[in-house]
Amino acid sequence: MHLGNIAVNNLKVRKIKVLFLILGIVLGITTVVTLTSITLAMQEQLEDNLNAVGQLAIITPVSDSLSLSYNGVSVASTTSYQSRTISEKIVEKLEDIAGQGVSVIAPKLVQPVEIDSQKMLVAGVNFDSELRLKPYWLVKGNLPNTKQVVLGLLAAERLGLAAGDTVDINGSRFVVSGILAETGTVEDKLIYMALPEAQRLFKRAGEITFIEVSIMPPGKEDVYREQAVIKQLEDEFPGVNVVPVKDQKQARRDIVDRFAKFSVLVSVVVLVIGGLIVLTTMMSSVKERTREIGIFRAIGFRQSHIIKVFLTEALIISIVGGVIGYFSGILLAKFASPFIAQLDVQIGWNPGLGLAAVLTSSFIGLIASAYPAYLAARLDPVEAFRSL
Amino acid sequence: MRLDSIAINSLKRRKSKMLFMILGMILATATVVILYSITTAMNRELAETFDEIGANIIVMPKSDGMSLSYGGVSIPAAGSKEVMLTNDDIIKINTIPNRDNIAYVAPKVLGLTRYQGKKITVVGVDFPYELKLKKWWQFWGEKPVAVTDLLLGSRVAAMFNKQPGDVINIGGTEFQVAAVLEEQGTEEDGLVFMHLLKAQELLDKENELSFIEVAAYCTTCPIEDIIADIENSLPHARVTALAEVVKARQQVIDRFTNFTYAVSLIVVLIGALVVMMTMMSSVSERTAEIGVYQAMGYRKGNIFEIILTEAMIIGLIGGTLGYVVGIAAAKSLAPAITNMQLTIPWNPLIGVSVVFMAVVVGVLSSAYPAVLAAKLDPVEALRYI
Amino acid sequence: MSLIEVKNCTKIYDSGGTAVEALKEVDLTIEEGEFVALIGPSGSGKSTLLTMLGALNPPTRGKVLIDGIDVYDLPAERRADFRSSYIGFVFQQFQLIPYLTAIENVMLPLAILRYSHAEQVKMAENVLEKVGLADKAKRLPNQLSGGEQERVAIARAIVNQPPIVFADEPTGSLDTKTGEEIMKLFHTLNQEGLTIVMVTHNEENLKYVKRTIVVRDGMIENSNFHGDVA
Repeated sequence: MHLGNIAVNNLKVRKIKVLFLILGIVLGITTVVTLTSITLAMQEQLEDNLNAVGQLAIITPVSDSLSLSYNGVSVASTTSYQSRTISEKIVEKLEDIAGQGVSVIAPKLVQPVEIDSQKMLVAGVNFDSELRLKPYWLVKGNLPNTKQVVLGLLAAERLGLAAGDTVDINGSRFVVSGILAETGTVEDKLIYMALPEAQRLFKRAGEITFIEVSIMPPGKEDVYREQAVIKQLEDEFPGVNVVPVKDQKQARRDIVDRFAKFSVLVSVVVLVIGGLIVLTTMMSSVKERTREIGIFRAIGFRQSHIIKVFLTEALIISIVGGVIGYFSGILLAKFASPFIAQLDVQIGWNPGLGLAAVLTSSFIGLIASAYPAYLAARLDPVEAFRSL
Repeated sequence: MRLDSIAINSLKRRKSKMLFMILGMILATATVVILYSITTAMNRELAETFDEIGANIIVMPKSDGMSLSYGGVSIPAAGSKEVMLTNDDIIKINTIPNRDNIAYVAPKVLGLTRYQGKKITVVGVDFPYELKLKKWWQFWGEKPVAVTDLLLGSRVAAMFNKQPGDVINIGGTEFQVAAVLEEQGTEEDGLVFMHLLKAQELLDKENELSFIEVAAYCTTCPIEDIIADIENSLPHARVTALAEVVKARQQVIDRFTNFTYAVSLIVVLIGALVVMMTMMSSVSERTAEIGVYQAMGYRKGNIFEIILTEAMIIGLIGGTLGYVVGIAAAKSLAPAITNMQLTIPWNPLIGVSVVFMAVVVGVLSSAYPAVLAAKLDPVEALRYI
Repeated sequence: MSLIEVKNCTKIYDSGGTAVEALKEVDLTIEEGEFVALIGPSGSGKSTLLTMLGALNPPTRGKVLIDGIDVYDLPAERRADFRSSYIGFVFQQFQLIPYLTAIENVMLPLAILRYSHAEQVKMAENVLEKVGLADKAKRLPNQLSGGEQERVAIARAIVNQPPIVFADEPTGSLDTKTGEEIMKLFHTLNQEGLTIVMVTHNEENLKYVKRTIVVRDGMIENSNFHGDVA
């Protein structure tokens, strides 16, 4: 029998004690693993949400006149629009470079019309692209087919139309297939139809008023790539202006960055606390065994022998506890994540985290039992016997 | 001697045992308190920051008609404009019942004027609030302060070749270009921003507002309530939530709130387990002692009374200390690591519920091994030496 | 009617899957005022018999009547009450509660009965006086010698004035001289009318008892009455 056997035998015989020890370590490590993996998943989720659209840019014809409106409110006293338009060819070009970065292309043709002697704007759009760029769009009813339109909420109110009604535009009859729920922007005031339909209706084949485009795919924003794409487009299509949009989306990204810092905090707190749980468990276990240490000393064990026995035990317990803690932590995280509404990010088995968990628990387990084992080993054997 | 004095003596005279038990309690409750208070503070802070970024409510005059512009195509307002927003409406928005939830009110007047023979659109704004609302705005030059200070959109500056510090004469008034806005990719690039009252004077729209942007905090009351409040105060206005912002808030803040709940739930669960483990291991060590009591003729109820009294005292002390340690730790840790001004309050309600939880879990989890031990035949129990 | 009647008691333990017959159809009667020693080799079943007599260890078959009461017919809680009023127990290793002082340990059996604190203290002081420990009442068990701890354990067993005291090797962990003193104490208590049943290994102790019962292989081998020892 050597010292390792003593450790193993002790663990085998004192099953309940060992169970509690392992439970303590499992709890500490479970907490760390659960919270770390949920926090990481949460962070990923938040980033995904914010980057869902990527970097937006607006492509317009170069113009020498200034804005005549703000937030969709016009100051113009007469109907006015850019005489110049963009050639639809740019859309094909954008599709060409789509593989390299551009992800969603939303070309639009905007045309003033008069319906029941009311001046309105019709936007010919590509509905698939619009819905991808504007996840907040909610069409009540159906998306339009041929000879169908969708109305912004205010446009519908003004014209007194509901889904299923018909409306004459430029001499053609259209069916209202759906109403766009209130967005709070100028989009509420427009009439939408498919882009080719609008181009045919207004006899403006191949013409585009402006394009909203996500020039960088989600999560891959890169200022240099962005500038290269813009330059490439502007060089190839003179008379076209490509401007990246800066708005609140950018500012909101900071929030996610803060969350990243927060996740560090949570992990630190949890690690410290997990360590303390392991520490108190180990310390109380060693303290209880003062008498046993007395027996070892009495039969001639050196202090180093005793410390070795205790550390072997601690190591076995910590590794077992760490491994169980890792598995139960991930399982708990998987179980808890559905409670976090719509958390789409999968919590997976993260071997790096597992290794870290086991290393941490063995390290803390060793440190935590080293001190009390050292104290106990130094005791006078007679004292050790008395302490019961 | 009564049964509770046995419990008290047990705690007083087994100091290191009691220390470990209390330490376990403190760890468990402090973890719950630290993580709960930091996540809720963080959540509140994030929600407020989020709500302060850009407007989430827009107020327009109802009779605005269909003046609209999209993609550079504009059509003029139809019909009369006798009903409009006025400066008084700003005060009305600031005095709604839910006024505490109003972060910023940013009124605007829009008008057309001419400069060097070209049509320019002037936007009168309340600069301090406008700049707080548009946190993403970056500009060259100084913040506009004086009534005659201007903020030029990038295309306006380029077209007239103006830089910060240049003087511009519009409609007979000398204005100073305080700053030029970085290219935004929006209509803002082609606008001239001006002090609100000066713009109203210049455009001959005294007291008139084109629309008002409002940033409201939506943590304590839903945006619909705030909108209803504003609509009540301004019957002549159309008040709309910006769907995009509301959706984004749902995705980020609401999810974060749920995350906070999940973290709290897990932490409470684990805290309870730590307490349970501490108490259970302590009681299971005392099986032999329980055997002695049984042999002396103690009923099970007597034995539970002793052990549960101890658990209650440990729970009370550990829970209270854990709460204090937890809040203190959260206060000192949170700002350093999150880089945020988090206010973590002493919340007595949380204190009381944490202590209550510690006591209940402590009592229940020591009851279980006590029941097991008391179920043993005294002879069996006495073997556990 | 005898004070204690054991009727045809068998005790079978389950030891790792195999049934071990610790006591085999034992019949025994003990009268009031007896001082009985149970002797026999290790594993003979004498400790089992002692705890069975002490209402702590139910027989697999058979009956134990104490003062005419079938103790194992009582539900567990009523049996606890029975022990509280009829039986004092002195355990092998004293089994004092380590965090209670000598007097507090003695007061333990009173804590569950309707005595005021003052009455408890008075009763406990009386018995501590009787066992000769009045001056060490405030000490914790680990501040007392083995003999002193034994005296506290005896005081605790008799404070309630039970008619019977059971003792499991009361001198087992004491030196000869201290063991003698403890036996003398038991002898005195017996003289005062207390019925005592003890398990012992020590032949020396037998000179104080009135009757020796030899237990071997779970059966009573013989039972001898001695004359009273002065």
